[in-house]
Amino acid sequence: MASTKSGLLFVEGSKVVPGDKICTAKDVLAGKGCYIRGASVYASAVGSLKLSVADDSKKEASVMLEEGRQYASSQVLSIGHMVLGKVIRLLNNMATVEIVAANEIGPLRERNSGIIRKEDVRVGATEEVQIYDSFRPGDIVYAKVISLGDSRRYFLSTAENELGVIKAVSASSGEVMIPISWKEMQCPKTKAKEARKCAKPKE
Amino acid sequence: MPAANNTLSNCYIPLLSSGRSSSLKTKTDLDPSNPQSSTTSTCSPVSNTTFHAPLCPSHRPSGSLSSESRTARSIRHLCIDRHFLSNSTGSAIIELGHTKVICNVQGPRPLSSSSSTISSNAASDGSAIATGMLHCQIRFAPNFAINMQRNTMGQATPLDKLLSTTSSSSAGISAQETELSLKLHDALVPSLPMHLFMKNVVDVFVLVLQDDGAILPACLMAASLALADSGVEVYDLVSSFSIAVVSKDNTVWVNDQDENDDDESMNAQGEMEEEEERCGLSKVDDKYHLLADPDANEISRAEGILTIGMMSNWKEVVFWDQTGRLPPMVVSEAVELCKEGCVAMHNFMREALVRR
Repeated sequence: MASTKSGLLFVEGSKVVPGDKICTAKDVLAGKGCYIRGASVYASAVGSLKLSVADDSKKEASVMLEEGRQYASSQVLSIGHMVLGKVIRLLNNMATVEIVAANEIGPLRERNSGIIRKEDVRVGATEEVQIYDSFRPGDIVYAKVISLGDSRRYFLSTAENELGVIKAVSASSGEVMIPISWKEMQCPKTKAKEARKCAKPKE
Repeated sequence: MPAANNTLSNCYIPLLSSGRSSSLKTKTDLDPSNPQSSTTSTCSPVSNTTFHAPLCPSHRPSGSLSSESRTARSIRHLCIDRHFLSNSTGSAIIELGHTKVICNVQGPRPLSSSSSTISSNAASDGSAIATGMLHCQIRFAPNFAINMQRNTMGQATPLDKLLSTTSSSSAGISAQETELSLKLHDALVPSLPMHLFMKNVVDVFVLVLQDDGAILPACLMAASLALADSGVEVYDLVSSFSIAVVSKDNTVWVNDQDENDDDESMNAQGEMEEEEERCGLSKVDDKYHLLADPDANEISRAEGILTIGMMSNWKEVVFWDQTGRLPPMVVSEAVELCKEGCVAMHNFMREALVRR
């Protein structure tokens, strides 16, 4: 069903499958679910075709997935993602974090693994940083992906004001602690202070 | 086992050709005027799509075929369904005649969580980060395969005989399974944009419920459909087809007589020759029949088998598997036939995805 006006081989809204040639790449950009090969735009997902207008008034073809499906590639973390994770293990020079959710993605389907190295805990002064005084196992941290790391885990960083521990439980009382400065948290019940690299609370 | 809301058609060990029940019309006619006698009733109408598949006939051996045998160019009864496993990202089931294959796709998953990928498809640490990975695994369901002997023969027998009886197919991974998994991996990799899931691995698990020939094409198509179904972006659907080359001296499928009796009388030979002349088959087919979509019987009698995997929209062959001894001319002709078959299969796969 050719729509001669826009040169599309498929009517907008009709179902496409991967590999379907949608149109030539001359006037149309490839959006989500499409790719360009040679001189044409092809679909790479199963769904209905959507045409939208991109910024510079060029048309963009994308594929809207069926009900209840997500793009599998949306679950992949990349550099710059802000993530929420839980500290699992502490070593002398790093903290292992289990990444649970990411900012643009929401809760992840599968748990990813990341580490915060000693030099990425905060800006400057790497030698003085003690991992044990920055995190404890069980803390919830807000961090940023800075590198794809090695084969097993991502590299994360908390070296910014708004990154760091956002929730920690006091060792003495078991209550959730309140941050009092960038490097300390206090239990509301026992008033005991513990050292953490805290995230700046949002106003 | 996760819940499956689908019913398989025809799950039984097939009887010999003479005893086949009339309700199971697995042949598909090339003659368009013959309305499709469908077994759609055995497939649940809502979620299942049944296809009756004539190939574009370049030759059509007309003439005296017994009612049970198929024409040389016809595909078996094909049933495709998808997204029926509630627990997985994507799933597909393909029934090609009596060959039944289920595929289940998980992922993309982070590399660290699935330990099975560390040993297989070994890549250095550097390259594993830069692109995603694909992990394929084909397994034969232990008690469902049609031909159990074939299954268990491929395994190494342990020195202790007692062990082999209890843990025969369930524990061991036969060489055939490993080989098929590698082939599946090689065939699927070109169709996946690996740069879209870096540091992640896509797991493809295929379970063969019944094996009646054409295992690899069925697995390949099921895997491709399951990948498309799961939301993983793929460049194109991979369709696959296999052709068995049977030498004419060996074929008795034209006759109504018992298929297993190979040394037929000269009558058989004469009939077949007449037939070939009638159909105007090419020179190459002087000595060989090219049978499309062979079943297990035909495969065991074949001189050679050719399996092609193709991405039809890109018009690229991504997989070529050939066994046996075949003269080059026969191979070229078989490849052309395979490609036509792949295009036909692609149409059915596409319909299955769109219709659902």
